[in-house]
Amino acid sequence: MILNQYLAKARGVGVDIELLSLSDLNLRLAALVDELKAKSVALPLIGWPEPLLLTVKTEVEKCGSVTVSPRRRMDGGYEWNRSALGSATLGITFCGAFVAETGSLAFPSGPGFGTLASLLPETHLALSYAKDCRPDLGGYLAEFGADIPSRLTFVTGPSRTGDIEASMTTCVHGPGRVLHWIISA
Amino acid sequence: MPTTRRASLFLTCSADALYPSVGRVSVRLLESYGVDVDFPEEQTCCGQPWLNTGDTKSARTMALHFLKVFERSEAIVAPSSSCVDTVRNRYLPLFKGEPKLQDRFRELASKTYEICEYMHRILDIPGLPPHPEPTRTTYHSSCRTLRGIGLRGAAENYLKQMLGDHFVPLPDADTCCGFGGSFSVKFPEVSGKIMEDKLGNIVLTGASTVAALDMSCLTHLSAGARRQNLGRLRFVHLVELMMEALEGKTR
Amino acid sequence: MNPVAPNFRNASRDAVKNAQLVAAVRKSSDLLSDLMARAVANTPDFEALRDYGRARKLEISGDLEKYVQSFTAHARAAGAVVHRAKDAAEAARLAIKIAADNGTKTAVKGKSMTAEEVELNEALEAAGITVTETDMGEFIIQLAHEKPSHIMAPAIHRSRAQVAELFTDKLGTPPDLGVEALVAAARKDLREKFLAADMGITGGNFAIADTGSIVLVSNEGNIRMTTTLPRIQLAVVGIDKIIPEMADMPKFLALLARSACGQTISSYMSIVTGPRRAGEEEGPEQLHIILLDNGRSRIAKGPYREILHCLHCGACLSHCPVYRAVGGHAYQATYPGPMGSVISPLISGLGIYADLPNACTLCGRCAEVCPVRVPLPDYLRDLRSDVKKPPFMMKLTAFGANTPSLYRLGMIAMRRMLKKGGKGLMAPALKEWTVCREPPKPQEGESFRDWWRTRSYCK
Repeated sequence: MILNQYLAKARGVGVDIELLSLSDLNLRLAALVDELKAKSVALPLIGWPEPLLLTVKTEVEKCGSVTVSPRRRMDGGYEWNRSALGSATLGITFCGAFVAETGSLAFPSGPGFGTLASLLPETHLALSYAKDCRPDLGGYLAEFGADIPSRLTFVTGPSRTGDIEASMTTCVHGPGRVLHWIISA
Repeated sequence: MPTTRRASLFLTCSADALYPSVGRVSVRLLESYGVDVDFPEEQTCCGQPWLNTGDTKSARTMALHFLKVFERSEAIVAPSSSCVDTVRNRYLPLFKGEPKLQDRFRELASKTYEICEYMHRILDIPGLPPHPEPTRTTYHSSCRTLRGIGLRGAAENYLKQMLGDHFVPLPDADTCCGFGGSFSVKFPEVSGKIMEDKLGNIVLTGASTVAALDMSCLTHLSAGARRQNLGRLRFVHLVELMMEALEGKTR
Repeated sequence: MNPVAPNFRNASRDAVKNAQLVAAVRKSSDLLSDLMARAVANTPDFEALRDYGRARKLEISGDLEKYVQSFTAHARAAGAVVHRAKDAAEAARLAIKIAADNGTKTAVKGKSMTAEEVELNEALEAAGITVTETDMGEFIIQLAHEKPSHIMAPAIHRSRAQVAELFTDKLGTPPDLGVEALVAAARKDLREKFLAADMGITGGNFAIADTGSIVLVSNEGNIRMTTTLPRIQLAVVGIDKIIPEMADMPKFLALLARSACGQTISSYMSIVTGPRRAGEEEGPEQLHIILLDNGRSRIAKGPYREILHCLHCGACLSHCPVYRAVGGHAYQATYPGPMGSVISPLISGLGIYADLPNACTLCGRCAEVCPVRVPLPDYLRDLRSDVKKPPFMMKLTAFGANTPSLYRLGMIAMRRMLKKGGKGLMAPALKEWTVCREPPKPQEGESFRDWWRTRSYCK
């Protein structure tokens, strides 16, 4: 029910959504990397369910692509290699919450969460589980209580502008293409 | 048998100075529906020009004069939405902190109507006969008709009944004509530009007659039409078409 | 400020003659109005949402200082440095100091009307800091050395062809590019600047009192870059942007996004709560928030308090017949259109912007579309009475109009003079009227009053 609402909203703003089962993931990933001829893929390492991350990382590297991830420093913190990140053509992130009311993907920040992977490359693929769909923005925000991350980002469709003669054009600063693959349970 | 309705005509200054027929037709139209019409001769202007140029002191004096003249009337009917909007919505804020006066102005506001509105809402006149010589006609729904007194659709319905397919709706109908009272002389170039667009839309409809419930907009539009060699356009208050339909002849 | 005193009459006279300008403003305004209408039609509870917005804003503007204090405390608790600027000059001084203290040389900036209000770019540039506008519209007008002409769509007055010419001139792009190629060129130019900048400057669409968060919306992604990449972030936020709780935000966002450009939500929304935290690989090391007063506390206590409720969606501009005929620059103020004609004189003084409250036909369209029901036409009308004492002629005619016998004589005289084509005594009064119109033409025949008397007598 709310998933249908999400699908309608997000597709309405140009998100390319696929519903797939976990077993289809490898094939679809290989096809996407091939289609984009993605030499380098931005891939955060934290905030993922471990097996899913492994599947993705292994498949992407099997396709001959390099993965770019936040590095763990000696002090336990993380850092990006910015120039490597800047050259990634595809960013793959896990999206642990998406909102039906607005058709939005939510990305909280945190050590190693690497939300820039959803911003700098021209194509962004978000992976979610169907169970992680939330009905509305207010309810999702309430989940945080007083404990709000330093940056909480909502992505609703591709980067766009209407600033020239109010004609809508995509891929301004962020990705021109947003893919959302929702993995069924 | 209901008792006879009585209404006082508030002529408005534009009909007083420029358009006597609008006043005459208003009286005859109301009488033809059995309304007993009177005309308090001490009436002047509602004060809108002063109110809208920021002279609230003068506007207050005029509001008080209006109250004195019309307070005892059963209903006040005027052939102008903007004047009715003034009486109904603008007087009250002028008397903040004077609750007794405000009560009287509230009472006054509750019985002041634009004439088409009065026919529609109070007399509850469902329909009008076909016009004897219908010409292609469009309707300028003035800002004060729409957003001041909130009358939407009533005038258009009457026009449809009288004119059938000869009534053509105006594109961008809810956009201002550019008059704006003092605005028209403070910024005539902008007023003229907005007016040009309105006249352009009127020409688009192919209408030869333009009806409205506000003679001030029509004064501005007709004077602009003459400047733009559109003198063939006829600008009329809706009551004039209504009277022609009722009498079965064009004046 | 402006070297020459703003004069709406002169500026608007030139603007209406500029066919390209009028066409560009019209095209974009029409589109934005249509988008809003469609979004509102698809939101069944929109009227209830507007009621909520107004009621909640009344609570806020009625106790503004309380919310400022609350926001400040919570933002500081989250690690932000909160500054308070009483006016534009102080805000500019603070911004320069923040930049200097951190050795910043280059800044990337998201669109912010509050920054325009304090003329932040000019101040920073004068202090030797290079500021690059990154919003597409702002980028265009910065290249053209212009001011925004619309609070939401700053380059609304420029055609695609003009932008193409500008890019060829300034960025060396091939001539006559289409919109997509223009956007791609800007992306390329700006990407390097994002990665290199020391400081990111933004405004704030909402400031949440109970969490100390700044909420920023954008469609392009430049705000995300600006709030994530540089090591210093500066947000310049008017204190009118504060809302009490995070739970209020989705509702105000729903009002804003629909009214601004017909969206449910913008492509990106960033909720920024303090700087980068321990271990995080992204976000600025320092987050500075300048809370700008610049008259807002004073306005909150006065009769025009509800203008502080404005969400800066721009709907009143796109729907205003005057704005649509002249564009934003003719207003010669940071904020143009209906909301600007109220807020500009309230901030800068009626002496400077005496024209603006009059630059309105009182058509009421702005109030009809305002998502938080600011009574803009009422305010514009009331501001007219604050401007100056009514001229002697108005007083004289008021006396006449109030004296029934004089009024009747006046009506007769006006009729007679206009029948003669308005020459003679009426000529001065008709001078402006006849700029675009012929004199009014009274009907032939007897006056209404004569007709009424004869009729009553015969009865």
